Amino acid sequence: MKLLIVDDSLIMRRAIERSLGRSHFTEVRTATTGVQAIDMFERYQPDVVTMDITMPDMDGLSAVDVIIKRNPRAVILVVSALADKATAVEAIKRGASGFLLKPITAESVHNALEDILTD
Amino acid sequence: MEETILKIFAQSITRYFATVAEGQAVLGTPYLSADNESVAYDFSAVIGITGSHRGNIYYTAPREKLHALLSLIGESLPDERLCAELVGEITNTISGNAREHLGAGFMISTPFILEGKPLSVHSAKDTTCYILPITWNQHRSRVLVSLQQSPPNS
Amino acid sequence: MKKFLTFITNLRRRPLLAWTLFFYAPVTVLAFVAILGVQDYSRRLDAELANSQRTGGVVGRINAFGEQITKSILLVEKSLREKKPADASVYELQVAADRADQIINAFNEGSETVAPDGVRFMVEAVTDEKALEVLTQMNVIWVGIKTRADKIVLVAGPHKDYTEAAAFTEKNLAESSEFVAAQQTRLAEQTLSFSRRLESLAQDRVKALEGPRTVFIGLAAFSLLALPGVFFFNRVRLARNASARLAAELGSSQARLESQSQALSTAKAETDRIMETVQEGLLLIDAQGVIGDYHSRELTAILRQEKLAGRSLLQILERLLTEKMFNTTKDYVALLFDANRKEKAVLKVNPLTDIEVNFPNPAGGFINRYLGFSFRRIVENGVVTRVFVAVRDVTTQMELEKKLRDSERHKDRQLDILLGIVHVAPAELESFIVLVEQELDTINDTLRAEHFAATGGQGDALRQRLQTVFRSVHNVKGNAAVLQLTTFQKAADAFESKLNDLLNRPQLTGDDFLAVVVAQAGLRADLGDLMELREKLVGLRQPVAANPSANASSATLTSPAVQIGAGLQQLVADAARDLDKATTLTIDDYALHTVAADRPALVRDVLIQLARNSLAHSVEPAPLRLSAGKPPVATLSVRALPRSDDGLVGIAFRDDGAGLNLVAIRARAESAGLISPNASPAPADIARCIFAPGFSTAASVGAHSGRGMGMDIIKAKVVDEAGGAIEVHCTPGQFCEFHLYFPATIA
Repeated sequence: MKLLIVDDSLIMRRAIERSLGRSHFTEVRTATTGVQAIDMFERYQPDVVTMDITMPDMDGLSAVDVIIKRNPRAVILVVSALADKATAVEAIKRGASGFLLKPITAESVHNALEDILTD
Repeated sequence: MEETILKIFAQSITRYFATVAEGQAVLGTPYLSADNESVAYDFSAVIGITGSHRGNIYYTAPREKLHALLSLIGESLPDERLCAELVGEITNTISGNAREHLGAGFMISTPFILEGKPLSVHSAKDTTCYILPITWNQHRSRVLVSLQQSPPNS
Repeated sequence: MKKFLTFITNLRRRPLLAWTLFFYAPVTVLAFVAILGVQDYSRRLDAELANSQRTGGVVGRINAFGEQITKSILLVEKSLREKKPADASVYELQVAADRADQIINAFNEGSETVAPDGVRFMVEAVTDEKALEVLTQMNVIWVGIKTRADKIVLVAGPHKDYTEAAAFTEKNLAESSEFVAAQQTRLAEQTLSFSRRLESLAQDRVKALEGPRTVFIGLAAFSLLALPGVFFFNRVRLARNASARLAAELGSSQARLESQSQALSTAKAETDRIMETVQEGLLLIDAQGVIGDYHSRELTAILRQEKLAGRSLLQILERLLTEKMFNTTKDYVALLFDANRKEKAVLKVNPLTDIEVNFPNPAGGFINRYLGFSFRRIVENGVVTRVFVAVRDVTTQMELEKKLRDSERHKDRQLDILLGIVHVAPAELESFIVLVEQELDTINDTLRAEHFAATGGQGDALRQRLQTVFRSVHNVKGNAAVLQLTTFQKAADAFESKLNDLLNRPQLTGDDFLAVVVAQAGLRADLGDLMELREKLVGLRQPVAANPSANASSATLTSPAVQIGAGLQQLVADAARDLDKATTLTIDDYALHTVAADRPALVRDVLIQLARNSLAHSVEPAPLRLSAGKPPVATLSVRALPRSDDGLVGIAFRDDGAGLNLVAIRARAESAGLISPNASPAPADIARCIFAPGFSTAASVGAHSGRGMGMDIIKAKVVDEAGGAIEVHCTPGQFCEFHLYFPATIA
């Protein structure tokens, strides 16, 4: 399976890759902005996407919006530090399959992924 | 009110360490920044706040602490860049987490990393800058909260 | 006449009528007349021709009869010769002679006769000269013929009178027939020229008839042609005029159109220019909130987006507003388009007159702006088809307004402070400010301190810090009370409350100090205000003298003792008034001076505390005093003490109130664990308990009493800080004296 990690923080990208990389996925790509995410999705067609929200050059929720509109079956896990209910609801409304709150651990990412894959 | 905000940030930072480092971060006695005092450690990041509140949130930590944290999250070769990234990430996380209590109106920017040590803290005029000293594993760091509530018509 | 003229002038305006009157009608009449004329003349011509023919025929008959006569005579002759009856021939002769005679007479006199075609017609008497000539000849000849014919008829006729007839011999007959034959020839000639003449006359007549007839034909033709011709010509002319006019009109309306479209494009160019340069975002939205194609350029700058036409304004705003504000906006747009709501009312509740928007900054973070929206409906046929929107960036305005509001709020507070401090002497104010600054620094340093006390764990160290902070705050409060700076007093009091709450907690963590630091910030802010106001007061000052000593203290060269004294007086007066305990204070200035010279602040603080404690705890209300046999007015005093054995200088602070309540103290001490319940300590030991931290027997805490920290501070200051000593001398119910000893002045 192919994984696309979208986050403007190097730490996060590497952390998620470490947590998920070998276990479920054969290929991992990354993007650092919403615009890049959309582009990468088109070109790479990943099976799963992790999406940060606060990024420059288009935020994650807008990117989710665009990707889902073009690919309604896309599987996107929003990973964000924004802890308010409204944001989580908005993410799901726009089509994300799940919402994971930062700070993350390897375990929490794992579990979140399991949840959305077994749906 | 301000007390509540400080509490929220204190909670955020302790939660961070509890989750990521599985250790306890302890809040020391908070105090106010004095004018010519340098509060910065080796690495600092600042996030701008707009919306329901206006101001900044800083997080600053020394290299050693960041190295320790980096190892814990799986980075075996901590370098300058990763330290800078981490301090930004921590600032982002604690600010974003604050929205749990402050709501979506508390809008956070993307973090801006400040390099270099002695740094005067930029706080907005008429806004008090509170310093929350954090101790974890014998390492110190600081969260700087400089916020004021926005006027009601927005 | 006039009527006629007006008629004529009217006619000019009615060309059709004029034409009708002056052309069509007469010409029509002419046509009729002509046609009638033609008809008439044609008829006449026909008549004439017929006449002429008949006349010719008739004349020809003369010849025919003539020949008949000749023939008949010959026949008669023959008959006679043959001795046959000649009746038939005679009869024929007679008839022919009569007939011819008739005809000739007709020509002579004019009468009716029968034409060869059997038609009876009128022969006119000949009047033409030439014809007459010929006719006369014919007559002559005829007479000859006629006579002979008559004779023959007579003789050979039916009445058969042969005698006479015999006379008429063959010779006579032969001679007559010769004669008649010869005459007949002559007659034929004559009749020929006669008929020729008649013919030419007839022709002349015909010609004469033909002439007018032709004229009439011509006229008729002309009229008949002219009428439609002119008519059509007129119509053509009219049509051509009309078309010329039309063409002219077309030309002019084309010119108008061109100039209009010129004007339009100028107008459009102007509108475009306006749209380009206007400093507002102007646009139209429809009921779905979609932006029209045409909007001002500024709009793209204000909304920080290109390509706005056709997009939904609501969608754009959704990104920029908080959720709550966006929902309000959506609802409001719906209201704008609801024709059932009056426009005025809707515009009044515009929630978007100034709203905060946050544009995402591509470089990270937000750009914060204030936008002002105003709206106007565009109504067609009772339906709101569009709403006109004007957007302005009002950020600077908002910021100014905010500053104004803030400064006004600030001013109000400052005014309060100002009113509170205007009575304070500048030197006192100055020293107060310095004090507060110091205390705030102490507080901050305490909180900041990274080092942990060697003794005890964290909790104890924190508690210690708390206590240090408390002492500082308490000091501030006391000094503020002296100067009657009520704002500070209140702030410090509130701060103290918080600190006290914390001190009562068994466990202390860093979190607990959050309240502390916030209160500290508040105090700092108040100090800032105070310092600002002090600046303002310079030059404005008017000494407000409540008592003489205050006046005296407005001079800057007053000794500290005098200042302290004055302050104390004020404090006592205020507290006494507030607690309703009439009290006086007497001070030995010199005594005060000896101890206070080196440490005025400390001494001041201590005395303040003692005075307040006395008033709060020791001094009884007047009725109580009276019943105890004391004067109603309590007395506080500061007097000198003799040097101690150690060489310390001292002052005594005394009040004549109830003094220490040993029972209460003891009870409190027991509950605080300072005295075991079973022990029976000496009064002195009980008294000493009051110096323990947190000790208070006050039933309620007020602005004037401490929270039991007073004595602790005093002890700390006098003993620890100043290196002195403190003693309590007390007779419960009578008085209470504190002896304060300090090291003597170091020269």
